[in-house]
Amino acid sequence: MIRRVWREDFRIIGYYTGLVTIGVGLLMVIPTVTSLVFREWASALDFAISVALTLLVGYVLALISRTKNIPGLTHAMVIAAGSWLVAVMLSGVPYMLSGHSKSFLDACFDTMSGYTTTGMFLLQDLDHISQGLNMWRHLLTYVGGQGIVVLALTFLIGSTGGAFKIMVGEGKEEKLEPNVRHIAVLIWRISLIYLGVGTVVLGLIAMANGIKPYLAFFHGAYIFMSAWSTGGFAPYSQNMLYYHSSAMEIASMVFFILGSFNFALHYAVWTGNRREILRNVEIVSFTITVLTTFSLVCLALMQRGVYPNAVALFRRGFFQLISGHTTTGQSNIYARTFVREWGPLGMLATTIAMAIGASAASTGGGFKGLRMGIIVKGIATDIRKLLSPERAVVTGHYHHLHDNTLTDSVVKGAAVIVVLYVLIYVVGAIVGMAYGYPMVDAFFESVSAGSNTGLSCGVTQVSMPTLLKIVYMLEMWMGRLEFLSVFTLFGFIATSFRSMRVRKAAV
Amino acid sequence: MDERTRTKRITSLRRGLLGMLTEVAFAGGLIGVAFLISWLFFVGR
Repeated sequence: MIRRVWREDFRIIGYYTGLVTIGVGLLMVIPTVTSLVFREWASALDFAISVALTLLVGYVLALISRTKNIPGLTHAMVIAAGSWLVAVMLSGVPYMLSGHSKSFLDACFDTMSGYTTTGMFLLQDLDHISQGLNMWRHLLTYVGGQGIVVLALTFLIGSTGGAFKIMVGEGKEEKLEPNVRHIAVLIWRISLIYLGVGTVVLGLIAMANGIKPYLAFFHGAYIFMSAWSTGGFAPYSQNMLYYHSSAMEIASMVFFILGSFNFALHYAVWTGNRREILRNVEIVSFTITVLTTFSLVCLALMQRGVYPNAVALFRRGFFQLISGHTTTGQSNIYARTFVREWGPLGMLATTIAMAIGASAASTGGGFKGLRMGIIVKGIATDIRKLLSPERAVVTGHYHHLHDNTLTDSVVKGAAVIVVLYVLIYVVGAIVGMAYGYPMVDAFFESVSAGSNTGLSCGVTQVSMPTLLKIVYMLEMWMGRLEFLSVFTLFGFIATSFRSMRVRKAAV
Repeated sequence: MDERTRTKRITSLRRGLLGMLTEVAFAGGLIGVAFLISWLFFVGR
């Protein structure tokens, strides 16, 4: 039986959502400063208004629902899913004020895409937006990769009893340290160290390509934030194609491969357990699926004779494939090239790679390598059971940080999430097909949205149907939070209405 | 800072650096294998 919803439940949810909102407001100070540095006064004003509005909403929410009670599991899930929605809407305000978004829905589409590290965009005239807005786009994706709740936990919420539950609601369920604040700090430490290294490396490459030094630094930071968070944004509409630099593409590839790793794996490797990178089930699964799907891409491109030599095949084919598999979405070909040159097999291989996606508790999306590994091991164990004598005890194992026994409940848990992902991929594709898009294109784009990849074959544009925009936004949101917290939010809303009706009937 | 804390910090820093290099080497290795596959496809056509 589902419990009733009381006023205190709303207080707890409101208070913590308010704190997360304040965190978003404080984050907007960074693009404001960027705009001021570049003397973009109109953009600075847009951000100043947005900062004031977001902080006001956050403070009012936290003030009117002030409570000392600790969130339970239900609250935590609702806070995680709800605060993402509030953050998406408030973060869309600077987009609207800039005049580069055609509607508030388009602005929210872009911010949802940013926070969920998807990388699709509907922003108009991207090549002429302010540096402040460019900083905001990439910052959204960088923070979204780590998790906005993780951000709030680090600086505002602290180590309350329910903090870890909120983090689980955001899809970060690896307990690296006993103290939840330490986990959040650890995630940020790893990301910030790589941010420093990545900005310098990519900035130097950009400088070598002829970009002015001060701009090269910003380009380096933007491309790093996009790569590490497996986001896919870039400062210009041509994405990575703008740079025409294989060094930039290889450096970016390294960063988004690293960004797709589980934070628990980073922690293990950084604390001395370096062999873990070769033994971890996620990395083994990731390596196998990357190389298999890339072989399919090679086959498709060779059949069609798209690229004249191995270097061109590797540079375009592997970059796109690994960008899809890590759910990054950076691109060094035009969107329609998928349809015109890669053909159905090339698109299918990329779609499979996007659907599988990155690692659990990483910045990436998709089913995740951990679940793929568990399901494959589960199937192998079942086959071994069938082939063994009836009295033999056959148990499966998998290595993720330590050796784990493969129980039926673990396999079932992984299979349920995979089925849910497949369901949203199919629903998105059906809606796309209902609007007349070809099946391959509709599946490609839907999987790209649901797995938070962001590669596009040309479906995503301002003129696409409103319903399709909403469906893709829902896919991004559910895919990023891995369903549980979103379903809990829907359940909570339904229960709230039912509780209200019961109370009215009692009166 | 006493000697023990200093040694601990240096060890932790060294481990972190080696960890980072291990990760970069893995990513580089994967990219290298992918290049080999593209090359093999061209050689074998």
